[in-house]
Amino acid sequence: MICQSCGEHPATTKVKAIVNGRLTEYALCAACARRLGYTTLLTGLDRGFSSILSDFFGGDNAEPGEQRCPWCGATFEEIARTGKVGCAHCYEVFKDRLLPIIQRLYGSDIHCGKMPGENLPQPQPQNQMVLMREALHQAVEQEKNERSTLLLQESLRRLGGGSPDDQS
Amino acid sequence: MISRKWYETEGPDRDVVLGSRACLIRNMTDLPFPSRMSRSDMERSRMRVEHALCRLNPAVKEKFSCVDLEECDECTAVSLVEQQLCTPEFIAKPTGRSLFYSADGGISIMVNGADHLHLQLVQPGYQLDETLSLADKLDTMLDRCLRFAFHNDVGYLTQSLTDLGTGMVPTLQLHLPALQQGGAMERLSRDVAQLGFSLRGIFDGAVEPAGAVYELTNRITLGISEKNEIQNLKSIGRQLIDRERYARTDLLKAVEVQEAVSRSLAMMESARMLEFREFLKLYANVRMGLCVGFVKGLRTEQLDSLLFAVQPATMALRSGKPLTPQQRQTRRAQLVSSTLVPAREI
Repeated sequence: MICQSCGEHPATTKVKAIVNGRLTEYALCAACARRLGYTTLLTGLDRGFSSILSDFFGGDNAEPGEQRCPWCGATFEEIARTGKVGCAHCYEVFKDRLLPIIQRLYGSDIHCGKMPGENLPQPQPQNQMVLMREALHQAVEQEKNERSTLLLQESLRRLGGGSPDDQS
Repeated sequence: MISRKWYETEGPDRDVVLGSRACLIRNMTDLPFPSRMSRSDMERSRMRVEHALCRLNPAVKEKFSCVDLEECDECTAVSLVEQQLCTPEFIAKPTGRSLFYSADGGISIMVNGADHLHLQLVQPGYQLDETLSLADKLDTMLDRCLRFAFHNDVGYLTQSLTDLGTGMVPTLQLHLPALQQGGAMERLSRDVAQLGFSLRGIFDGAVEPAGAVYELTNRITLGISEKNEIQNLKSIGRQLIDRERYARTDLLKAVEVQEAVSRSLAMMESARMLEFREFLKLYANVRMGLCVGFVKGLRTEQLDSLLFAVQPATMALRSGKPLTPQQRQTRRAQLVSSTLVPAREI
């Protein structure tokens, strides 16, 4: 099919739009899709990442008796072919194979945003670690002070002195 | 009481920014993702969302209407897209899909589309922080009932790998007639794509964007916080806003452009028939003239309300009967002139 925007190059992308009150599908070539803002860094990856998998596994991504997700029945090959993950559990079942792809897509596989439960702003894990280290440091310092105080009180008691509080 | 739509109200930087939107993509842990859902899974998903919305505080609950797409005719479904309550992709396959939306159109929830829930919040003008805050609160409230699927490493779990992480996609809806007339849009679209953004026209965007209304969207969702996503969008958006304002002032120094704006206004006030595409062209010129003070006696919200009211399916739906193209054009011209003439007599 020829691109419906430029009418010159073969179409590679389909986009849906409302035109004059009707749902319409356009076929666009790669250049027009880019020109009209239908491509981003991740474009095409949501419509099947089997080509990426081929790069990863040398084109050999079909396995006999392939593992299925026990929750939804999806195989990794189906997910790769369609670009659609079967269910939330697939991410755990196929973790070893999905995480490298996610890493490659984004250059990162670490979520830095909201965690379920509370509204934003939430303390980030790194911030939490800083806070915990500070709390630990304070606790150690406090313990040191308490031990110093105890030692001092003990020394004073041995010397027959001590603070007025200890004389009772 | 008739609720005012979000686009009928004022907002910051409204001369360039029509609205700020945040979309949240969420799924439930114990149901397959939509491409593998059975009929009963879809019904269960819809019931749970309805139940969760009912458990929100009563004031919020009363605001939501529900449309079952399978029971919709094409005109109603297309009108939902024209009102920006859902996407064209969502109405393309109606099976098992439902849409919940608030009376002002500021909140909509697509159920059983590409993911179980696609929450969308819109605020007028440049209000990205406020929109994120509202989206965040609604997300937290719904999560207490629906228990959204989440993974400590990759964040909110989605059917497509390209939405993982925050699952949050923020957008600025911009009016950029001067940049478009200066021929800058294609280069800008290519440039922002390198940064993980998309910039595209929302009317006839697949052939030649009309009306100069564009959406700037941050598409990167993993390895970045919601706040930074918004921050990055603001940074690019602010540059576009400033460049558009500068280009408008410069462009309207030319007598030819002033003439085009005057003629567009006269056409809107006196036309007997108006095609939608022609309306978009006039809208772009008059809105630009209005925002630099060349046109007086109108408010941008009035023009933007017309933009939503005169779209083909919405006009047919509001008339309560199918309209021929001629009837539609005549009604559109009447609606436009009846809105503009009294406003300019003030």
